[in-house]
Amino acid sequence: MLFNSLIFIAFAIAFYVVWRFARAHPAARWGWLIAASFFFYGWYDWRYVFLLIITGSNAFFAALAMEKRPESRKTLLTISIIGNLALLCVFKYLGFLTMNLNALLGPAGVHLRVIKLALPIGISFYTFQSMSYVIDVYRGELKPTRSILHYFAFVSMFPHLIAGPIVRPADILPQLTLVRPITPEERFDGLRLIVMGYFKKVVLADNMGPFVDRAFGVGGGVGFTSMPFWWLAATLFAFQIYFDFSGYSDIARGLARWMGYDFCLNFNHPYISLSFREFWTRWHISLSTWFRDYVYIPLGGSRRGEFRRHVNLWITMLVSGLWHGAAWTYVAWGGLHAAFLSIERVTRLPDRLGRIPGGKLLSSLIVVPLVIVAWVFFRANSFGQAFAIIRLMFNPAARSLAPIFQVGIKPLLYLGIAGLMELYFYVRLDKSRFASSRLIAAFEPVLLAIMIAACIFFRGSGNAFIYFQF
Amino acid sequence: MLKDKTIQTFAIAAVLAAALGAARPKQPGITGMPEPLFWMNKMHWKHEFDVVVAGDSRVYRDVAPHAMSRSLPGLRIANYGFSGNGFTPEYLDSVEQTLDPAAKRKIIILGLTAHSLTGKASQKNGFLENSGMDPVAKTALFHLPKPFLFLSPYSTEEIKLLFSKNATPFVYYNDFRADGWVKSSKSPEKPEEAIALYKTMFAQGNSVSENITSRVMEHIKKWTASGITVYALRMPASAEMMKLENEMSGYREKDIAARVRKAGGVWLTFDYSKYHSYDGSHLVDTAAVKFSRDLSLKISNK
Repeated sequence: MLFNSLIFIAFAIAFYVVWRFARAHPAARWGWLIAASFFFYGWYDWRYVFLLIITGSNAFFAALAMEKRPESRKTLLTISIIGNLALLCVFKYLGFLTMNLNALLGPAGVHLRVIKLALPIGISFYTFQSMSYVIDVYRGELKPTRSILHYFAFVSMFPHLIAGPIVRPADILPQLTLVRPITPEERFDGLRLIVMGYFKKVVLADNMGPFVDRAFGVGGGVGFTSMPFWWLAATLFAFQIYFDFSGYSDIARGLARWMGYDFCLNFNHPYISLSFREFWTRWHISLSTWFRDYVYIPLGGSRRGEFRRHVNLWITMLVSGLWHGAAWTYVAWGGLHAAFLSIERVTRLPDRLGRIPGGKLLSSLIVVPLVIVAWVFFRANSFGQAFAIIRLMFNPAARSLAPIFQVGIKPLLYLGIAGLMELYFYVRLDKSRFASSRLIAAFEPVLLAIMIAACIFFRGSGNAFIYFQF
Repeated sequence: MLKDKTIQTFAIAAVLAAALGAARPKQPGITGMPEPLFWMNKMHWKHEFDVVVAGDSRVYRDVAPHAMSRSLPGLRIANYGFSGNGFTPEYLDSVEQTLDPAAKRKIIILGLTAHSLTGKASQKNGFLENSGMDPVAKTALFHLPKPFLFLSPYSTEEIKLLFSKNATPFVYYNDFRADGWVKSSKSPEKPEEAIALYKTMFAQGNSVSENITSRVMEHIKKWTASGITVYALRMPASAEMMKLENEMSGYREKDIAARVRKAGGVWLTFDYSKYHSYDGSHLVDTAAVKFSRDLSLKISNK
């Protein structure tokens, strides 16, 4: 069920009513959390629950076996990871793999049957969570839990289950053993996160979505041939995906806060970044740190010389691109960011610009437009469409503003609101005395109430969260 | 308790929501049932009718069941058209489900427009949107329409009306009727309006799908074998629209008519020049009534 649906509101009310009593005892706490989370997940398709059980059980039992048979740790880790990755690959990449094998081997007369299975929602997220559990146990960074209820409460918790944040077992497992009263401040903090999350998703992202969908179309062609139009469309998508995904993460964190748990911050205003390196410390933080800790560092990270550092970076970013979807356009998106990071590393441009007056603004004017260009590959239906759009974006001859006037005021209005919200953080107003004043603190319930009213009356027509497809 | 910021927030939000709900402006030209309830009402039709007319917006705007009753006395007639509709398997099954299995005479009338036979119409349409609504929302809308609609989002037109009382001299009249017909007209009329939209759509590669057309024919065959009389027709539109559809959409009326007959259905033809459209695609209310009478006369004569 979607967070932005009435059925979820009804589910959440029922959950928290029982949670108040169930949380007192570990077995009841974990049991209720698992039952509710399985119901939440099974709402999409009850068969998916079995996948979650298989993936989770794989990691749980492998970790326990590692403790019992330390001499076989490596073998058990390998089997567990291969098992979970194989499941992910079958559901997510089988069709993609066979199509590419056919393209490669077609001239030799080989033609494999292309089977595309329906992608179980959230599989990429809980697979990575399970893998991080078994890897952390292998590394000796985490002691495996002996309670399967405790483990499944961690891996299946409905707030993070289908679109993250990708929580770490070392963060959540200890929290799940604790019972402490939730203070009024924590309750309000949770409400703030939930309301902000819904506002970002249903008011901002969902009002931008229909325009973006119309622009990129289903035919894969380029219906509009104007440079300003495509910069607008790409920027709207950049903000749509940011608010859609960060909105979901905020709601997840708020829901967890109401249970008494803390999830990591997943988005930290990425479009105020002054470098690509900074961008990746602010965008989908739980995923980028996962790739850093479980791919980049094991490959050697930056410890094996400069050239190898770049190689490791490229591998990590390309795999990250592929994680997002079974299509070469996602890999290209990852590759573009790898290129940006490599060039930045070699030229040290952000550091140099940071030393000159106006340099920070110039850095932003380099980073943000290039991030937007990369998003075109992420959103486009094909390479053909992506390249056609990019050509238009850099074609000064196609400078007609007419298509923008056809767009109407709505997407521009919401983009304006989005821009102002991020500008607040760009100029560091959030760190100012103004932001921490008593007046603002007193005004906050009014601000949140306005956002709630906006979520009810000014919500857009978009539906599922974009990252559900990953 | 009042010092609790969470409670303060919800209390203020409740006041704001009440104010905004009450301030919702009335859209000029919109009468009859509230639109969301109109669609949800249709979704709840099960085993109630003798005659069901199925298709897209040309069906729900152009077919007036009450005008058909004169020539088809005693028959319960439903307009089961949906916005932007396509002939998906779920929709076709649902069409059959609206018929009363105990009815002596069971009739399905299919408005086969070019758009309704495209892939795009099957991917996203009003029927899918309404059937995909979450069950709590469906139940709330159907059983508690007043509070549900009080808290429904403002449409773009309502937002414009909030800030400008006499926003525009242009009015789109829509009267949402319980029988599934939307009595429509525009003032002033815009006879070319739909042409541009359809031209863009067909130019983007959306055309009549052989798979979908075959699916419709298979259903016609199944229905006629089970004793249901099936009529099919090309819904009226302006001459310019029909020319556009003939040239760009892949719609071959003669082929479709032949396939309908082969499947056991009856293809109906009309003099489309008799019916006036306000936007090139949909009939003004008076023309819709005229067309509905002609449609029912043709059926009653068969």
